[in-house]
Amino acid sequence: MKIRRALMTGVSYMLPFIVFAGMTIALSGMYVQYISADTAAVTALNGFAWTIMDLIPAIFGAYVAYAIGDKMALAPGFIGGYIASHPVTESAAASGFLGGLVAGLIAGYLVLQLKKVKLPEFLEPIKKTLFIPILTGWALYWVMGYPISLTVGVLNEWIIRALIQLSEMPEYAFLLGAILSAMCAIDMGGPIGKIAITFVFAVWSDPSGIGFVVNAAVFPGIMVPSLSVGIAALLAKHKYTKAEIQMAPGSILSGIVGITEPSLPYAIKDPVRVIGSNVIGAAVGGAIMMGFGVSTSGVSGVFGMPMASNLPIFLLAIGVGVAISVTTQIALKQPVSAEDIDPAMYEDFEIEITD
Amino acid sequence: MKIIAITACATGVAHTYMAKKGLEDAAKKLGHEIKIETQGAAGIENELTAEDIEWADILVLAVDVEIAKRHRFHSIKKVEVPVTMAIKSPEPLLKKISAKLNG
Repeated sequence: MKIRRALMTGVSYMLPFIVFAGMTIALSGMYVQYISADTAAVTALNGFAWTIMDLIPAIFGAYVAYAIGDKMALAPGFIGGYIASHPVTESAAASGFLGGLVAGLIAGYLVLQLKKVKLPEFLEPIKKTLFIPILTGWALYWVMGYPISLTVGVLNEWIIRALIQLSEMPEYAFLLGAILSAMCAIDMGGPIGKIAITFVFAVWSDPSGIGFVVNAAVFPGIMVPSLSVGIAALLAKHKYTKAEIQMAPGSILSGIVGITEPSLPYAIKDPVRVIGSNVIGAAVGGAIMMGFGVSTSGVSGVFGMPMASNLPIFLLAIGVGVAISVTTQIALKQPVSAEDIDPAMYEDFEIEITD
Repeated sequence: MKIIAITACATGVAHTYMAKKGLEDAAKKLGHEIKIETQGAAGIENELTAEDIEWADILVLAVDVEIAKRHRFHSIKKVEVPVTMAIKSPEPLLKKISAKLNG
């Protein structure tokens, strides 16, 4: 639980950086390609966005550590995360986002342990201002620079190589796209989807551009659920409750901008039919997207569109996914019955009050 | 019961505010007073003050991420649950808290 929360914290602080870097790279890249290739200022901006992109493992490591060990863990988390994208020896491999994750966990728990070490009263202030920052910084430098570079770094390189190979073989690439997209649709913004997104972030800043291909592949998974439940509720009103029909326009709008969560209330009420339909639709969409090797550096729904490498296929993938999900949902769902009006709430859980 | 609460999810655009709405509606229905701080993508909104913390009986944390400024709350009893619980079943949650506090 503690680790999961730490990862979520890291992701939430990292997101604005990804949005800034991803969108800036995309827009400045488009400018250079279509408007003017020799605008030095735009090229510089593009380069700067890549610099920020390179810092993302450090930001992630810093805030994962912060969530575990509080203020004093932020610096060693950043230091370790920085090494994840900037190896300290020439022979070592960059461990990227995965390395940033490891750095954050190590830094967080290390600080937590060091805080417990009892020193004589007069040394306590020095412990906080001097000992912990220096010792944890050195520790993370060494751990990330050597053992982690050699293990996680190699693993990271292997994943990226495997992904590139997969994406170059359309006969298998569609499968990866289907799986990634289905993962996002299955729990609508929950932990399984976050694993898929983590995977995208893990390869995001790779110079080969593979990150942008897997990024496009998760779009149907993110957009199909909210769009489909909304459209289905408006098309087959007798199969949805009043509340569900009221929520439908908002849900469609959220789907367009890439927010998956509004489909949750629909799924909670009728999990198998709703989630099942969404997963099938999203998987087909993801398969189309990656089968055709569409890439985009934009994030969040409609904002990924202008940067799509192949806009018609991009739209087709999402359209087909939505069509399949809507049709399946309407076909499977039963008309609303009296007991649906007041859905039973989940009551079977325990709480704990702490001081 | 006088309740203060914080809601916070990873992305901070949807769940955070759905949880706020869930808790508010449930508190109103059950006759509790509630004040809710959200820690979404925009950072802290409707921040809980020292007076609020003094005033309340219980702090409900409906959070998936580590909250900012946790040190404010060392003096108050707290319950920590995932964000989805405040969305799915806020009423049973508040009932259970009330039962535990009173017995």
